[in-house]
Amino acid sequence: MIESIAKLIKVLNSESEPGQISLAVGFSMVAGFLPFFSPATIVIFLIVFLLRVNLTAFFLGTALFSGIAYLLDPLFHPVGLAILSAGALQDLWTSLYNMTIWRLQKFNNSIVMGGFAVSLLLFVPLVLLLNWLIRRYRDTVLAWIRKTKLAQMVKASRIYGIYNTLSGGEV
Amino acid sequence: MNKWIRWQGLITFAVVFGGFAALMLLVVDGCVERTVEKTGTWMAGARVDLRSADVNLFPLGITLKGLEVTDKEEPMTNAVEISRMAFSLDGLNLFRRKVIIEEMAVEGVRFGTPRKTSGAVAKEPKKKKEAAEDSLFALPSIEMPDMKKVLQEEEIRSLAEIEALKADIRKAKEEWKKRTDELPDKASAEEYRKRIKDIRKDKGRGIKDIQAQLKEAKAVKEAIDRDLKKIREARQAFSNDMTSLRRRVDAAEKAPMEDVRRIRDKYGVSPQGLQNMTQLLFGGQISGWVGKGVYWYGRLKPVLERSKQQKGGVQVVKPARGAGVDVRFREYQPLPNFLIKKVNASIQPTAGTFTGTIRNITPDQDVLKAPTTFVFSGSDMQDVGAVTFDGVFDHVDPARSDDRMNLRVQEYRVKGLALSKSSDLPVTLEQGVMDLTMNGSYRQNRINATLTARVSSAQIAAGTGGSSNRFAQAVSSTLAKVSAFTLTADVQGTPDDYKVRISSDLDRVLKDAAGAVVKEHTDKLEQKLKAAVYDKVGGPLKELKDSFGGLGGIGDRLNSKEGQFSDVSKEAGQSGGSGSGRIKLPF
Repeated sequence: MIESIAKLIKVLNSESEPGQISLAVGFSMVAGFLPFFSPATIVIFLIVFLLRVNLTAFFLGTALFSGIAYLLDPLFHPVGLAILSAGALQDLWTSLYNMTIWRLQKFNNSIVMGGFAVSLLLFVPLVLLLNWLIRRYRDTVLAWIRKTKLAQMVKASRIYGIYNTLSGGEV
Repeated sequence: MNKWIRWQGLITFAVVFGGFAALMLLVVDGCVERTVEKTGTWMAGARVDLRSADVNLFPLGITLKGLEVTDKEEPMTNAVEISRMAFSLDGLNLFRRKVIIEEMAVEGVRFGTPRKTSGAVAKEPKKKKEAAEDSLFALPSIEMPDMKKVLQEEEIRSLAEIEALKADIRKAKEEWKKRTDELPDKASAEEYRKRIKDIRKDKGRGIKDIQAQLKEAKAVKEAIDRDLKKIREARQAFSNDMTSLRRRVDAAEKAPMEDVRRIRDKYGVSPQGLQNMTQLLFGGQISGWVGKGVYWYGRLKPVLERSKQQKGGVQVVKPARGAGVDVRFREYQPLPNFLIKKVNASIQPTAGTFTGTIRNITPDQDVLKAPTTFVFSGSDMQDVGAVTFDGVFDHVDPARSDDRMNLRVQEYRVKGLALSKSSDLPVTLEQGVMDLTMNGSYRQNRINATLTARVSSAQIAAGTGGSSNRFAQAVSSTLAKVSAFTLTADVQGTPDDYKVRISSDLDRVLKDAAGAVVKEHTDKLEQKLKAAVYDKVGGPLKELKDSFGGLGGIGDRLNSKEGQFSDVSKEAGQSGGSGSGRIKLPF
């Protein structure tokens, strides 16, 4: 737990673009809300590996959202069932149901559909919100910490110089 | 562009997922093996073992070897053992989560093979019904019970009846004695006589005197008649009481015999119990076989029909495990989620080889629109002429499911078949030729099955388990002489509550044989009980009779009083006046 928090802080404090972190968290939410062994998850992994998003944030987020998904199953089930039962969408679902790839995705399961719908709905707001929060964090909290005497002393030390050289970045 | 694209990520992705796929291929055999064992154990309720599983990718197929399904009731025995099962899978449909097996070969099926280790998964308390089946057969006792003990344990109802009647008679006696004492007595009669004499002696000759005499004579006559009426009413009431008490005394005299008969019926063997001896003898064993059949049918049910329901206007299927529901949509080419189109099975009982075909094994018959059917036959088998076993499990319309099966075995040379495993009266069909037919159906949660076994050239061994029970000996020696018989078992009811009724032409033979023993025993028991019961009730019964006889004295007194007052009344009538109440006047 402490290690995860440390990693999160490291990511937030890194020089990664806020967009790279927030997008990674957005994708992690989709991956976390979907069953791990499914074509959609593989596609998300492909996107995450291909796009220059923060992988640490993605993996941390996936672990976090997988846990949250269990708690949200009672919400996903009625949402998914309502979508799958919607009269206007029956033709669409019927055609998808007859396609192997979608059956493999198990889209007709109420929880899978509910999780997918909720993650799609929250994807853009979450990415935008995180973007704004990361910027605010870096402009206020991180800037204040860097100005403290303790941080100045640590940065001036020789050990920090060696660490910085080896890790290849500034904390 | 390169700011957002990480081309080396593609290589990482390929390595990660390629490695994962390779790993899966390495462990897939083990996964299949464990899945078969786990799912099989869940279905059978006892351990299922698989020696090996081999998954081929091109063409996609699975071969299972050494499948052993433990008999839940006997954990050291396999209910079924299959040496090899091989089938190919429709790969494309597998991606659609549909397990479609075109043809499956099942070889070397054997039943009741021994296990090296126990296959029990959990200790379950035996159901009450099974316990009842175990204790179905109880040998009727022909032993003479200890009369002392019997009379200690049993209530002698007649004794209480006699004592109660004695008390009533005592009370009646006291009441009647008091009432009789209160009635006019001899002194009163003499008084009336004196008054009559006085009227007669009166010498007055005037009109007034005569009128006074007439008035006095009339008064005396009326007083006598009143007293006489009282006495007569009392006598009538006494007579009624006596009739009622006599009736009760008569009943009390008969009551000890009723006690004798009641206790005899409890401790003796009822002739009615001999009506269906075959049920008594073979019921436990046959019920056990039926119970096993019903149990395995219940275990197979999930394979025949999956639970489906409507939610929000769409058909949903609850997955066996996991959460949520799977919504089903119309398929352009409907296929069940699981289907074995054809199974070619070769079963190897000890008698020989039994081959057959099972078609359309699926829990989604409503999707396939075809029922599961099976046909098995055996010919040129050792010890059996011909065997056919066929059936239909029709769940195409789950609300009107209709399962039927028929078994026909001809000229089965039976050897050492246990018909009763009772320790008191074990019965074994040592040898015989049996023709067996079984027709069974299961509709609307009701089982209806008839099994008929015709046995000829029979040699039955019926032991007595070293018992000196004459009933067992009689049945045993009778069965030993039987060379042919027919046994019919009717099974009716729900899977949770069914009744097995067994009838046979053996019933008559066994009834005749055991009937004589039972009658002799019953007569002896009755004699002994009669002596013992009368020994207890004889004294009180005599006292009761004496007490009742004592009431006769009261009757005599009442009669005497009535006689006295009748005489006085007559005397008064002869004394004069007019009409019936005249007293004779002195002129």
